[in-house]
Order: sequence, then structure tokens, then C-alpha cells
Amino acid sequence: MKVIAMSALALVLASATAMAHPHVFLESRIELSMDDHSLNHVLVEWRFDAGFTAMVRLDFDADRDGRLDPTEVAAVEDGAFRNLRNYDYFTRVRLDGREVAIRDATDFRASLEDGALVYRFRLPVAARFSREAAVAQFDDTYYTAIALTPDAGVSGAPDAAVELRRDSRTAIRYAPADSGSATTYPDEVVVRR
Amino acid sequence: MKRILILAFLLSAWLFSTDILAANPFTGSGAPAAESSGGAAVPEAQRGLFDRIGGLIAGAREGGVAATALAVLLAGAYGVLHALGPGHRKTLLAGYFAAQPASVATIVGAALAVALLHGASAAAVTYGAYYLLRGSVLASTAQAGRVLELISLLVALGLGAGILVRGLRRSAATHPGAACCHVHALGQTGDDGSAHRRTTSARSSLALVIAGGLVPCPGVVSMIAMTIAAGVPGLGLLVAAGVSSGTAIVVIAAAFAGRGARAAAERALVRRAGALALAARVFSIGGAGLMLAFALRGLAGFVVA
Repeated sequence: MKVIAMSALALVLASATAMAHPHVFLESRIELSMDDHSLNHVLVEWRFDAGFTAMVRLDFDADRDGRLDPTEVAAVEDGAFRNLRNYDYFTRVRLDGREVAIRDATDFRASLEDGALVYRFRLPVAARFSREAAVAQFDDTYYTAIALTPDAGVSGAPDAAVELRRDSRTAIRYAPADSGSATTYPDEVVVRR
Repeated sequence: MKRILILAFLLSAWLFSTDILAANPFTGSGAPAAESSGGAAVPEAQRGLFDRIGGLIAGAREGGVAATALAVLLAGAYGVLHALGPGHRKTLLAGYFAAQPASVATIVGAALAVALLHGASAAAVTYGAYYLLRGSVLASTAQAGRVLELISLLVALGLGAGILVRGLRRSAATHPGAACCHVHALGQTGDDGSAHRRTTSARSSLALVIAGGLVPCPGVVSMIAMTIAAGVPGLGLLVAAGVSSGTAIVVIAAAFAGRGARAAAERALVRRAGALALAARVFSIGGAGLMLAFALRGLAGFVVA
């Protein structure tokens, strides 16, 4: 019976769970706009992989000139961005350890730069904190793999200490066998006063 | 029977503990199908390959045959890496071949067909959306993907349910006692000379291929979009074949994992007739239960969404 149970377990572990796996890859650079007491907003810049870039080009670069004019940007926002409000724009903001609600993005822009699709937008926060602000970006559904760049910026708080750290409390398991390499953790930008 | 049902329940509970749908967050019209506490990490190798292939496709006209060959080769490597992650119906194939013994040729053929259909479906949807419908590639592929996923899950549900019911009936009809008095795993027959084993049929293999491969591979969709955007749409078929070949390697391995688990248990118990019979029933019913759980979990995701 032990052998049977072990074989069944091996079978289960060997067969992957059917979670969504990444189909879109993006690099994210974020900048936190602060003042003495508050985090005012987060500026986000996403640079997409060649595949998603190509699909957006096919769908929205109507005149095929390799650029996105204002009309085309509005179409991109409507067709390939607006729904992300349901996903909190893949963003989690914690102030002094407390998670704050993500509001609708503003100032959306899209462009094609060096062959890559780039989104830029602003996430309003306007909430006070005393010690630490932490911003992470990840897709819970794992459709999109997001890499935060290490050069996060902070404006309005010249003395603040900024670091990129691994959030080891938020785990995602994405490979068939639950080995160490199959469990990963998102990075977050942390700003301390 | 009680132990079998407990095992099937545990497998199902484990499977239901994670979410399933791969809805496109950018183009959809709703929230995530299920909340989880997970974060995402970047499989750097996958992205690196993806962008490298994108560069080769963009320069395919100047790069000639060498660039094209390298793009196809890297697409195969991408297919392997991509399929190693979650999805691609590995659960379904492993469950199917754990439930029903099959020849090596059948396993390889079915798994290969699943991988090829997965890529062909993506090619059909992408080219169709762009050249025939003249519509949005993002929206069309997402919508078609949802419909085809629903169809494939329903087929998987029917297939798993059929195998499960047959297994339960056979178990009740031929093994009323606590232990079987004869050995008939590993293709042997019982004392009465009857062959009790359920093997795969052409019809059920076809259903497996549809259930496993009908959903278009988003990786292939992206690569074909790259080729269209670069003005070399024909190259899309080659990279799709490359990705499918890579996917096939992993999918075939998953199918053999199912078969191997059953065979290993049977070999270990070959001298213990009662345990061997129980093992055969556990794998027949448990494998079907795995398929059923997979399909139900996917359909539950549709209901939630």
C-alpha cells in the first residue's frame, strides 16, 4: 500500500497544476513621489517583450508607421490597459506594513521605443506614512511575469533610503514539482525615512 | 473501495486548491478568476529566448536561412521551457495514461498530436483573426481561446467521467470481495481467462487529443504576431512548429510519467495478487479522477469568471 501511495503521490507531483503561466513579460521601473508625510503617487514605466509588442502593433498601430499617435494611444488604453484596474495594475502598496487600496491609473501613455512597447502611467496614492513605504508589482494570475528594475526612483524625499528587496512572504509556485527552484518571490521597492 | 474513494478525494482536493484560468488581464473584461496570495517571478531564460527569437524574426529578411534556422531552433528550446511550467494539459495526459494502459506508440502518438494541435490551433486562430476577420489579434485570440478552452474542458470532463464510470463498474462487477483472487495487471488475464484490462481506444485517444491540444498556445500566438509584424508571416508556421516540437518533448514525458507510475506500482506488487489488483483499480479510478478533477476545476474557473 505504501508503494501505491508513493506512486500516486509521484504521479500527482509530476503532473503540473494548470495555473496560468507567463505569456507576457515586462520590465517595470517605478518612481515614488513623496513629501514629508505622504506617498503621493507612483509613476510606473512598463517595457514589454517582443510578442506582446507585436500584438499591440498589429491591433493598434493602424497606419503601420511604427509609432503610436494620440488616437492610437487612446485605443491602446481602452483595449489593452483599462481592464488592469481589475488587477490593481499588478501593484501592491504597503505603508508602514498596511496595504492601501489602488485607485484608477491616470496619465496613461503608450509608445514604441527601440522596438518595444512602453506604457507609462501614474497611480495616485495620497496616503500618509511614518516609517516605510513598499511597492511591489506582480500578477497573481501569473499570466504576466514582471521584473522590477533596480533603479527605482524617489522624488520629494532626498534623505530617504531606497532598496529593492525580495518579498519572501509572498510565494508563487509555478513548476510541476515543488522544488526550491519552482517557488519564487516578487521583488518590492522599499523606501524608509 | 473506500480507500480508492479517499485517495481520489485527496487528489481532487489538492487539484482544486489552485486556480486555473489563463485569462488575458490586458484585454479581458473582468477581475481575476480567483484570488491568491501568489506573486510572480520572471523565468529569465524564457524571456531571454523570447526576445532573442523576436530579434531574429525582425531581422529575418537580412539574416537569411541561418537566422531562420536559429529562430526555429530557439523556438523549440522555448517550447521545452514553456511546457515545463504549469499548463499544457500534462495533468490530463498523466491521468489518462495512468488510468488506461497503452502502448509506447500510442502514448507518443497521442502526446505528439496534443502538442501539434496546441500549436496548430494557435496558428489558425492568429492567422484567421488577422487575415480573414481583419480584427484584433489580442481580442480575437483571447475570445477564441476561451471558447476552445471551454470545449476542451467539456471533452475532458466527458472523457474522464466515462473512464471513471467504466472503472467503477468493472471494479464492482469483477471484484466484489476485499481482494482479487487472480492477477491481471501488466496485461495478464484472470483465472477464468478473461482480460480485465481497459486499454485505450482510437476514439478515446482522439478525445484526449482534442481535450489536450485544442486550446491555442499563447506563446505561439505571440511568435506568429511577431512574424506578421515583421512582414514575414510565413516564418510563423516554422516557429510554431519549433515551439510545438519543444512542447511535445515535455508532454510526452508527462504521459510516460502517468504510465510509469502505474507500471512501477504493478511491478512492485507483482507477487502480491490482492495488492496488485488494488493498485490497478487505484490507478484506473485515480487516473480518471485526476482527469475529472482537472476538467471540473477548469469549468469552475469559467463559472467564477
